[in-house]
Amino acid sequence: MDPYFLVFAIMALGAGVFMISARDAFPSALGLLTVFIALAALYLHLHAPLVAIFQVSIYAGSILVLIVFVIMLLMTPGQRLQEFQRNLSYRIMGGILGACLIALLVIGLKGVGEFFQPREMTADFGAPSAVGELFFNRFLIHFEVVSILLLVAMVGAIYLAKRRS
Amino acid sequence: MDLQYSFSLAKLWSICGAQVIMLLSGLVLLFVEIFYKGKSPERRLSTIGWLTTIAMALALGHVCNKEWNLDEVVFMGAFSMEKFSAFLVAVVLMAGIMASILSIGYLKNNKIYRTEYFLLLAFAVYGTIAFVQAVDLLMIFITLEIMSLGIYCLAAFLRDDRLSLEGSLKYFLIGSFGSAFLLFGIVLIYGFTGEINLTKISSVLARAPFQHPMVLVALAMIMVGLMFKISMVPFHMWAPDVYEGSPSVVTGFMATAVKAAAIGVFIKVMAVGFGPVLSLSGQPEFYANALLGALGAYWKPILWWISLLTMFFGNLIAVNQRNVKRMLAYSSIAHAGYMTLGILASNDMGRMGVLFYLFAYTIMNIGAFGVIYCLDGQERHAQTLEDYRGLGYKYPGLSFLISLFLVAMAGLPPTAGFIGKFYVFAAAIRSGYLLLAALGILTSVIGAYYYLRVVYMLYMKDPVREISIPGVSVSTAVILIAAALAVIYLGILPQGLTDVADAAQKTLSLVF
Repeated sequence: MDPYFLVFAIMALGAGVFMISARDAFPSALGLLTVFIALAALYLHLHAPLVAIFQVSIYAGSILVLIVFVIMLLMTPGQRLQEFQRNLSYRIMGGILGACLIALLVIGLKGVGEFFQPREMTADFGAPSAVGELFFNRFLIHFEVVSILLLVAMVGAIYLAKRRS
Repeated sequence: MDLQYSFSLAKLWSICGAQVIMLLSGLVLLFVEIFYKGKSPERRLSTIGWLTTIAMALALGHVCNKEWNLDEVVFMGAFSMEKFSAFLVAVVLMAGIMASILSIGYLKNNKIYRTEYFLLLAFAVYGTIAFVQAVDLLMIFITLEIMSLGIYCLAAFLRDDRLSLEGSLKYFLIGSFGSAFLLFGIVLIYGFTGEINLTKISSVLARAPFQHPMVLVALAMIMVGLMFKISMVPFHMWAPDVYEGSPSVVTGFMATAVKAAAIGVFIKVMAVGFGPVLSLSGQPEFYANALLGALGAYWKPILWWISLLTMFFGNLIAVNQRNVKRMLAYSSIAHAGYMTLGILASNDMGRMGVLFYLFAYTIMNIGAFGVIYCLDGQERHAQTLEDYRGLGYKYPGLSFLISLFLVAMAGLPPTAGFIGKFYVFAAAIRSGYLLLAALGILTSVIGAYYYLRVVYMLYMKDPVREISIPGVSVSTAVILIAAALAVIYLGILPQGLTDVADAAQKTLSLVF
């Protein structure tokens, strides 16, 4: 249990609890964002930079942006936004998150290896090519079946969401 | 690259042929659905419905002819097609065929001419088959999700009906919760063993200290995840609302195919991944696994209690229900409890009994839901006990059929339900679970009360309100009569099916 793990694990747990206990949708979405980023930091800690990048770009990047857009479309902006800005506990949390973000950037710049004791790994551990190799050889069938999962979800979602004729 | 994980088209076709057929027909149906306009909405509906049925029949033919006798049964360490899987795949496809034919009549009765229904049904059947065949924990999770997503959408198919939407949402939320348990269990076991294939897991575990808390927690979580799908007490809370809200035919499919698949995977995981099965192939890796039998001391006492609770709870609450679909939901919980007896016995007869029970239960349950939709006319038009009063004289054919199916579910001879119950109870007694079997028989007497009450309502009471039902289509009638004949035939001459089921359960060890 090194401090790096503890910080981000506690952050993920705390943000998760905040996410489900927040009464408004918008802070809840930001809590979810914090969970995603903290998990990405933990993936880095596991020497899996590729997974961490996916986590940030897909989950924090696209899925969360979508969620926030939907919330913004449904919520009336203006007054509520000011209310959030005035809330002191949100400001403190924002400060902590900012510090963590800077820490994450520093780690990224310095190189992950300098912070944790180096471990014996195969040379291409966690490298994109190794992951791709696994996807299209050993886990080819899983990879294909997942695409069917998405197809089924899409057909079902379109049926349920389509305007009643 | 390990040779056993290499891809070959010939093996894909011989081992996963049924999946390939269902998947291709699903994709073809997707385009037919978009471009085929048809003369009238009704014609379009029945054309696409029959196309789906034909695809499932082709897949069933492939399973029965080609996949029953295979030399090599594992494909890329992900899917297997030994006789055990083949039997369950056949049960699932049979449920799919019955459901898709009944659905044509159901959708016409409700005037829903949306053909996405058959698309979702085809993909749900695909997912269920793949789920049964999976021998790899990751694949088990992915295919479980495909199956569940299809079923969630089918459950919400009556988009304008609040109960249908409510049931589907409940199923989705609680189902996701259950899947999360399964996924956590899989992750823990992967973290401990470094493997996801069931046979590899068992050979790693047998050499490792498998009483490690991490393995036990993982085992418990995987069991919980699957029990959510089987709807065993205390993981049953979604079942009554979902069964009542969903379209009747979907409920029939959900109560049989999904349950059959989840119980099949449960047996596979327990017998292959976490316990010894008697090997026929005699590979050295296998013999070390005999040690894993010690794990039984951990999961069997828990399953004992869960089985007892499931049988008592399901039967007792069902007595109090006025809605027939809701009553059958509680009855399906109770049936899951009886089947658990066979798993608990973990001997040849127990596993054979479970397979026989699943086959018989599929026929009688889908049959019963078929009659319910016919009597219902439009969904929620007439499905309470009061509505059934005195229907026996107005609609003698349908009333006789539902009486027969309910008598079979009550487990009275000479029906298939009796034989199924007989085998699982006998197996449990043979393994020394005398008390549990006795209590189980007691609950099944409670069960007989509420099944026979429906029959009593049908024949002995005077109607309180006029129920008129639209005509029953020929195809629906053929399916219902065939199911009734099968229930009686299996009740009188079960030998053929028991031989097949016995051969099927013996091959579990071939997965190695």
